[in-house]
Amino acid sequence: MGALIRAADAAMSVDDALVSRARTGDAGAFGVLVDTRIDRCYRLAWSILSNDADAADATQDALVAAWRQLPRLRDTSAFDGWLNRIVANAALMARRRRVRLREVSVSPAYPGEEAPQPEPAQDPLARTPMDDVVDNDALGRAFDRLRPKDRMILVLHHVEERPVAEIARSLGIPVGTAKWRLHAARGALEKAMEAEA
Amino acid sequence: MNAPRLTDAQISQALGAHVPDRAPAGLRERITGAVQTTTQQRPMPSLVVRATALGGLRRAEGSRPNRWTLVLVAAALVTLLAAAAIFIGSQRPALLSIQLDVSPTPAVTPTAHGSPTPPAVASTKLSWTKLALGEGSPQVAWLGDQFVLVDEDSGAVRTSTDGVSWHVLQPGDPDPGYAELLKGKFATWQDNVVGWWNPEEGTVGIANKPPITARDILRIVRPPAAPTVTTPWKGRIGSLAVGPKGIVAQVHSHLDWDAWVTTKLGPNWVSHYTGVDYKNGILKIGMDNGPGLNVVWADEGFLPGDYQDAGFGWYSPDGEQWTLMPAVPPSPDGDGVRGFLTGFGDVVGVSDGFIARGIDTACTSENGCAGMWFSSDGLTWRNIGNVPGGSDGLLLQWMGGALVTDGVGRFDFWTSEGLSELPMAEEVLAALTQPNPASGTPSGAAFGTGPLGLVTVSMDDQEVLVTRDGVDYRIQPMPAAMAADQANSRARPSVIVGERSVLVVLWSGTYEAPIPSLWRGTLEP
Repeated sequence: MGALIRAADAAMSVDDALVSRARTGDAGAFGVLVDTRIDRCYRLAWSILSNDADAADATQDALVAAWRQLPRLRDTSAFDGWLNRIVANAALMARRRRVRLREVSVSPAYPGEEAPQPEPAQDPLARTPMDDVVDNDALGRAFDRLRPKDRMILVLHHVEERPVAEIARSLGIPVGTAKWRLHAARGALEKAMEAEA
Repeated sequence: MNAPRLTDAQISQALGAHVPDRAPAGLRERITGAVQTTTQQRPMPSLVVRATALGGLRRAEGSRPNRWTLVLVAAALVTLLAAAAIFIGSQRPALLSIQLDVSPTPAVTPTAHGSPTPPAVASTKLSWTKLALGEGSPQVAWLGDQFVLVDEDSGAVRTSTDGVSWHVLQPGDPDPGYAELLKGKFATWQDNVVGWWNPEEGTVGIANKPPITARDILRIVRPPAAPTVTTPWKGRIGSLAVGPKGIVAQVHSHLDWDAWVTTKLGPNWVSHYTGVDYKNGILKIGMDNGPGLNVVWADEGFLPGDYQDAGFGWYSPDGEQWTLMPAVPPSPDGDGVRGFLTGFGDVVGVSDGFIARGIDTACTSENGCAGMWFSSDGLTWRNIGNVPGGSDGLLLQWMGGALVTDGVGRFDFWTSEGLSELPMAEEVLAALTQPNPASGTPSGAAFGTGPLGLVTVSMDDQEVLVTRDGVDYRIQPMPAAMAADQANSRARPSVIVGERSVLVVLWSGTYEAPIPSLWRGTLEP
């Protein structure tokens, strides 16, 4: 346990050092920070935009904005929460732009497209209808129907496995509010599942 | 009860498969290329010295005050105030008319759940009986001095002081609106119940546009007076506490400011947007095609704190007149989003005021830290400690103080003096199955507090923990038939603690057709 804590502390101090160097204009240090965070940032942006290209653009906008504004960040240990907010804001703004352009996403029709593969046979006695719903990505489709802020907090909690307290810090809200939002998002997801079940 | 219940594992598994695992190839190079050609913005020299006083409020992580001293002080306070309550109880009418006194003299008992005189019996052994239950969707609570059982489907209401004899509420009976209370959330102190819910809850769905802001409805029950219904704030209640000093509510706006600004600037404002800044109650939208927009939040009927949904607090001595809590200084990082009520998430009433749990913004623990705050007047707050991992578990009223507990291992008891871990904690930790620390999976335990004490039903161990004071405790097996009644993993049990008995709602059946069972545990003589 002690070794784990020391390793975590060491990783934290390395990150702090990188952030400090990047603040002073070291693009190489910032590149290392990007390497270790780009996937997470992309997933967060994708959770809001549900679109690969838009999520990539928003991630790029956010990380470049983070680089530009980094000298204004006073507390280097707050870097990750600060970065999460920038990514989330960039994605939300991108979403607004997309709404302005009235893009319409067209789902592929089966004719001419690759037909979905049937699910492998399962032991019906060992499974519940909800398990099937989860497996055939009905949950994913329900997720896509949620509000961006609900999707964001679900991804932070269930995909990125961030503790509620850290999510609260990232979003700049009290823990109680974060819990409430997470609860509400989960409720909305379950409600959306009703249409899929 | 109709929505499918998803487990954490199902959500994590399905979302993990649905959300892309990695950023697309080439994105990293695009970013680093853009960084090479982007100049960093250097801050202007500042004459303002960054305040560091906040650090003085923090204790080192893991350090705790002398726990036994605090327990003894709390116990002495409880005894003293209980004696006062007995005297006051003998002077007051049978049904308490709410007099939420803000005078310095404590006017009511410190016990949190309406029992001026703790039950004389010392036994903590429960004998269990399964009750016949016709309801399909039962909601049960201990309100004032009785159990209230509401069937969500039919709206039928039953009350009982002991869980044995039940009175079915008939048309014409005084009804404090229990059916509505139990639909939402509520807080209690003695005979006073404050419940809240939002009539738009059901309409804020997938297919409907969410409201820019919503108002929670507050129902205040003060027997024998008729309940009052108010909507004092433009916002939703995150947490609410009622205590001898009055009512405190933590409210947030549920505000979609982005959509709201669009109503001011039109749909194309994003094309010219350069940045947003919020200070001193003014939202400034920067634009590259003009001077931008300054929005005075108060002029629009909102309160400072709405932006970024940081929340704000209200205090009322009587449920009628409300005062906005003064804002606390912004956080040292100066980003303006953590300033107001940073340390204020959940709140409960305690014998000498209120205790709130919020964020310790300077916490470096991986799991975050809880900042604990006390207020004697509901308006001004002082930090009484910060604990790593303190956001785990629930914050509950108990013994005139506040208990942060997961019911099986964490038993942090807070008073205005600070933290004390209950003496039984270490032994219970070893005796009952604990949450999985790696996955954060909660244990299969449900718990509740009430006049009888703290009761935990551990389905993992098929045992029941009962303690009156956190010092003496009893862990006893539950009947096999009771354990068998919790066979539906999609619904958690609920534990409602009364004065001499405990009600436990268990769930079996399938997801599509859950079957509730109601068990009553009665103190043996």
